[in-house]
Amino acid sequence: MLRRKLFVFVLLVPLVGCTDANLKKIAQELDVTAKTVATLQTTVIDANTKKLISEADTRTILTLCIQVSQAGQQATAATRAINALGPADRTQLTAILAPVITSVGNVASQTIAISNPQTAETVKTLVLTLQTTLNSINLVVAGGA
Amino acid sequence: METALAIVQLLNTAAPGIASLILMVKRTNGTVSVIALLDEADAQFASNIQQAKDWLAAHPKV
Repeated sequence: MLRRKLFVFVLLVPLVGCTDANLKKIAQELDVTAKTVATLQTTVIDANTKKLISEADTRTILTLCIQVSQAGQQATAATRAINALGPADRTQLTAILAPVITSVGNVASQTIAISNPQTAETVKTLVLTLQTTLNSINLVVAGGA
Repeated sequence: METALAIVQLLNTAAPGIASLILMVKRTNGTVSVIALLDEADAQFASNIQQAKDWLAAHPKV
């Protein structure tokens, strides 16, 4: 019984790894995006608690974070449902990503008044990282990577 | 892939923990499956949304 289970296990390990390289790249970037959003909003909430950033600016960034996370959830659901990236999937993922890429770009170009220079730099870097990961996903989806 | 995951799910029902064991082995091996990455991302996105919504609810616009 144990030998049979072991055989199935050994058989399944390579099978689980069989997938489209593009999907793997998208999944990796989505994971990085999720973690970047988590760090960004924790940094901003912390800065707000210390009165280093205004309520309005905190609200702007957190609203963006919600938008990115919701799009991320839609993108993970879409990616989960496919085995290889086809034209219809590319269209669907582009439709999910395009609005948030624009929103992140808008926030990145806005001056968020953070009185502490180190926190300001951290927030700026995290927003730029977010922009980079989303653009990386978009590049794979568009067939350029 | 789909079939493999379906089998993993069946196995997991029969012998709980085997699917997570497979994912753990893949992680230790340095090759994390797409599904594992998506699960991780999904959970993080859900947690992010909750945290942001909680803050917004506690700090209503005046």
